[in-house]
Amino acid sequence: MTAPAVVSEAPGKTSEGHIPGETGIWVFVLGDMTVFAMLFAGFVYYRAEQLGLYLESQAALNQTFGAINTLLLLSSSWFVVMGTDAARRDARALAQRLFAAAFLCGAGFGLVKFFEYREKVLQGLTPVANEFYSFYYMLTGLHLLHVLIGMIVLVFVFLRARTGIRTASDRIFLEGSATYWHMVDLLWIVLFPLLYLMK
Amino acid sequence: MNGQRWCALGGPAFVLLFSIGFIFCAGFMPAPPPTMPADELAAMYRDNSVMIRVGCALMMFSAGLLLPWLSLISAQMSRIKSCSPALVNTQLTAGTSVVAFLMLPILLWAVTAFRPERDPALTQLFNDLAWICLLTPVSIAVLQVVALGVAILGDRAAQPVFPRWAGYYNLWTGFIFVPGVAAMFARTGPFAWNGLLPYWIPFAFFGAWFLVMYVLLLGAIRQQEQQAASGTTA
Repeated sequence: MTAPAVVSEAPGKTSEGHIPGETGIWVFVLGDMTVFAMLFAGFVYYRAEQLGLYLESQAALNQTFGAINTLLLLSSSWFVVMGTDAARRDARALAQRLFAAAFLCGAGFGLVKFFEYREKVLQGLTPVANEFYSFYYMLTGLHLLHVLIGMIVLVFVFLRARTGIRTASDRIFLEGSATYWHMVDLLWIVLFPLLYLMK
Repeated sequence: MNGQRWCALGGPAFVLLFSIGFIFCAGFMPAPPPTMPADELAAMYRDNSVMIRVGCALMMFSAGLLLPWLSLISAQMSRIKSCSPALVNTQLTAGTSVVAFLMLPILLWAVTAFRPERDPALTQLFNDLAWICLLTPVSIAVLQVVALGVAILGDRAAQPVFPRWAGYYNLWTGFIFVPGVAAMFARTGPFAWNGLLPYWIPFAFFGAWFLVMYVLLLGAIRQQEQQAASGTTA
């Protein structure tokens, strides 16, 4: 990644190191991942108690939907990385296009999730069907909530990219938002194999 | 200014008093499982009738302590220059609703223990009501901490009232409460009202929230005093 050229207040490659965004966003990210880690640990624990039921329920999940969503989120993360880089180089139009692409990937993710939930509910597989499906809806639902919040944040990132990075607070907002979006991606990367693939 | 410190004590005092009532008197940790047969449940309320009510009385008094605590939070929020009064009021009204909804299960437990010889099916109904009222109305609790978190993050003063990380911390605490709604659906496992998500995680992190906010509020009060002493209004 190229060094930031425009922002005088950006620490760049100094010996002090550079925390993307600000310290506070990492409190949130690490805290959030701790909660998800506990949920994942809970899932693995309860799964071991009723392994047959969990495997049988897992077989009914649509892995294609899951795989498409994995691709969408990975692409969106890539767009966010490129967009952040473009914004740092003050390539504003390019940055805006990249953030818009990231937003569309997020929207695609939500759309696929809608059809996936619809398919499951029509099959009678609701959150009360069994414990696996309680976990399935809770984990993917919480994650989807994070995606939706991230999409709202991306709208503001898109608007901010128009004026470019001028102040330290612009940089903090941009990097903090990108950090959050990568966390949403990372959580899915754990969630997908855990729910859809683990044997 | 000393009055504010008393208000701040309301938070930790609530945690202490509520824990004594909830855990040691009523014996609600761990919670009676939703699958408990009605006659066993009736026996539990009969055998512990007095101690459950003692616990309810303590919890009831502890919940009252939250009102000055919430008022103090809103008072300190209103010192944030860029903070809209709408956010200050959202924190206060949402927090007050939490107190009201906390009173509800306390009273329901007390009513159940008041006449435990009634039909066990009714005891079970009241018990269901109490636990679902306690853990599932999460929207108000989420709004309360999110309003506070948004206000903190919007603070652009050189010396903010609360440190910025506290803003993110409050948003995150809001996220912790969301899974509680699962207790409406599950009777067993991690999503039931005695399970990991609606019960253990919120209790642990909500308790911690009071202690963290207590320290932060004391810092905010100290800053306010220093600013008053030096005559600045930053």
